[in-house]
Amino acid sequence: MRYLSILAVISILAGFIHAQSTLSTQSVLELILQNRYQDAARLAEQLSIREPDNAEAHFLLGQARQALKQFKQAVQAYRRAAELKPRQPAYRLNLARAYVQWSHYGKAVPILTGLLAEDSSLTAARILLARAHFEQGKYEAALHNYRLLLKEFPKNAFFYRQAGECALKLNRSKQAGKFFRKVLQFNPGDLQAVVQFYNLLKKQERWDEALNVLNIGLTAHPQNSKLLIARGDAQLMLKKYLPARKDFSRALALGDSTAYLYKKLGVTFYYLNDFAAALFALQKSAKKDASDPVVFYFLGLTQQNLGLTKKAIHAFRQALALIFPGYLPDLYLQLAQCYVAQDDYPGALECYKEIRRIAPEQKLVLFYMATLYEKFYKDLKVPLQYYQKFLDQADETVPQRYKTYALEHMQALREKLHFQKGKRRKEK
Amino acid sequence: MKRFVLVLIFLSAASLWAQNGQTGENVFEHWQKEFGKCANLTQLDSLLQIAEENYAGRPLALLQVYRAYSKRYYGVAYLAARKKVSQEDYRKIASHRQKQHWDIVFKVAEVAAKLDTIPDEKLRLFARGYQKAARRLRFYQQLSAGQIPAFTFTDTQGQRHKLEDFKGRYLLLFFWNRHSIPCMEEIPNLKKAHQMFPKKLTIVDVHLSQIKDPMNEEILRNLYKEMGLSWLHVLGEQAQTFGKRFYILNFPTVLFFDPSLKLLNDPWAMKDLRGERLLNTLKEEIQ
Repeated sequence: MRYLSILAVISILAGFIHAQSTLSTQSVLELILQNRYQDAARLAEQLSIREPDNAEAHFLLGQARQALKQFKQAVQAYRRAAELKPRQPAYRLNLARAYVQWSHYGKAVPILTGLLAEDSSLTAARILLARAHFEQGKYEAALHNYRLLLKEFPKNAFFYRQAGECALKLNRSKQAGKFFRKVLQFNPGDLQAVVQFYNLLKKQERWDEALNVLNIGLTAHPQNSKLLIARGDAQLMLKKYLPARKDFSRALALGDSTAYLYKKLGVTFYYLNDFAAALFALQKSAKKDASDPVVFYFLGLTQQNLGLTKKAIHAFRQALALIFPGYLPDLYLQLAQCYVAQDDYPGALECYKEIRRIAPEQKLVLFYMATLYEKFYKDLKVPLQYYQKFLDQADETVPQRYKTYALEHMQALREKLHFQKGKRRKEK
Repeated sequence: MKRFVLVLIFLSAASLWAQNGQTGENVFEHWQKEFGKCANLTQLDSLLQIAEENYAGRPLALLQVYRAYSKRYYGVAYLAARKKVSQEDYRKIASHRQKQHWDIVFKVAEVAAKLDTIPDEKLRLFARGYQKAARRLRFYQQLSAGQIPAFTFTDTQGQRHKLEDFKGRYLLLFFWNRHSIPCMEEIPNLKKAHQMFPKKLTIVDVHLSQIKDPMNEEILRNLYKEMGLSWLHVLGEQAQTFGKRFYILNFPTVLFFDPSLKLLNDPWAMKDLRGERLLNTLKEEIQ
């Protein structure tokens, strides 16, 4: 933008010197330089009516209209100026700029391409062309132009960012990463680049690098709560719970009180075994947004740890109602444990059966069912069957201690069954 | 002649040792070696007795002896805890470990009190730590004798309480912190105790926290509500003062007083009055 405005001023001045300027065009120019665009537009309009062949007057009218964001009128004025003096590049350049600002990128592109064919060193035209291509969704062409610009200005963070965005749109993550890294090298305070680079790394689950990027961003913007939350997220993923808690708490102190922040804070507190604080934060989050199953899942876990099993069951049920496919087996497992704590064994068994249905690969469920039947079922054949099933299906992923436990208990159960049979025979 | 020379060498070595023995660090090193040879507490105590007799009237040297003794004492106690000493020693340590050590704590405090300055920094730190421990132990002895210091506090409901208000009922002071899992595990037991003796027992929980957390009060109030903890709660600065006044170093710490406000439990015994033992003690005492 800076280049554009410099070029515009130069072109105005050039026009001013070369043209046989009258006192009126001078007055318009003065008004423009004083930012009195309304007056400038009025005067330029009068002048262009009085002198319809004065290209300078039309050009200045275009300038004033453009500054007033009246792009349609600006385009008309510039077009007239360009018709009158087709060899003047500044008129065409400003016409293209007005088209870009008016979001008529398709009309701007041929003008800019023509200008660049005449003089490929016209930086302002290349910037506009790159932008027009980007806005039209022609990311390859935009990237090509930003690359050319970067050859000329190898330390320009803005061009790197734009190139990075193009690469992102083209799904070239590696290339985008390189561009964003350059942005942070030349302008560490570029918040937009920090956010985009973080999102890219987050997508790739490269949390260590994401943390570094956020550290750079937070050095320049230490009070930015969004960056603090993002860093907290990265710390949480890296299981650095204490620093994560610090970041989330700081974001909270800065006035951010979204359901998301409370959820993250609650989860962090949960992993820090601070169940009182986790309960508080997760309840706040649930109050603000009752549609997030993760909140209810962690709320249930927290309540379970605090011995509030009834409330935990309620929370787990809410999580289930909100459909929670990724966590479903674990959710049922937690729910089953709550039911066991409440002496509701049929409830627990129902949950285990549900896990068997949705995740048959979880062999440990058979073990849990066997232990439950062993403890609370009169018919000892049932746990024996489940232990056997478990041992038949358990592969190397199942820890040995479970298998040993099952074997030992099967032996004990068999002995008990043996005596039961003996006793019955005697009774007969 | 040869014998005479040998005796002379022995005597000069002994005098040199004795001279060295008077300088602080050497006494410590010497006795550290000597105590290091002891395999059990009986040997350790006998040797300490000899050392105490040797250094009677030389408080600085005596403090170094106690310092060396304490180091070895912990070593032997550690071995005992790992059951790497004799059964007899293990039993002895298990039953008298704390009390046996208190004698040394009081002795160190007594000797250190006689000294205006302690030049050796390590020794100074050792003495200071033991003096603090002695003050704490004396305080608990006073509590056991029914001499409880006067206190006042405002609970979370805004009601002001003073020491006299608690006379005539059993009082259970529970010093805790929400970040500590053992503390959180005690809460269900306190709930049970509160339900068992609603009229005879007063429970006051004092939340101790070193970290200044602006959300602390809100979090705890929410916890009391959610868990239905309807006894008295002390929070904030006054809780910290309360903790300091009762020399609380770790949590959870439970202090259980009879209706005349005489301390009933042994607060320095590890895991004293926790879990089932808490409920059983309350049953025995109150019913």
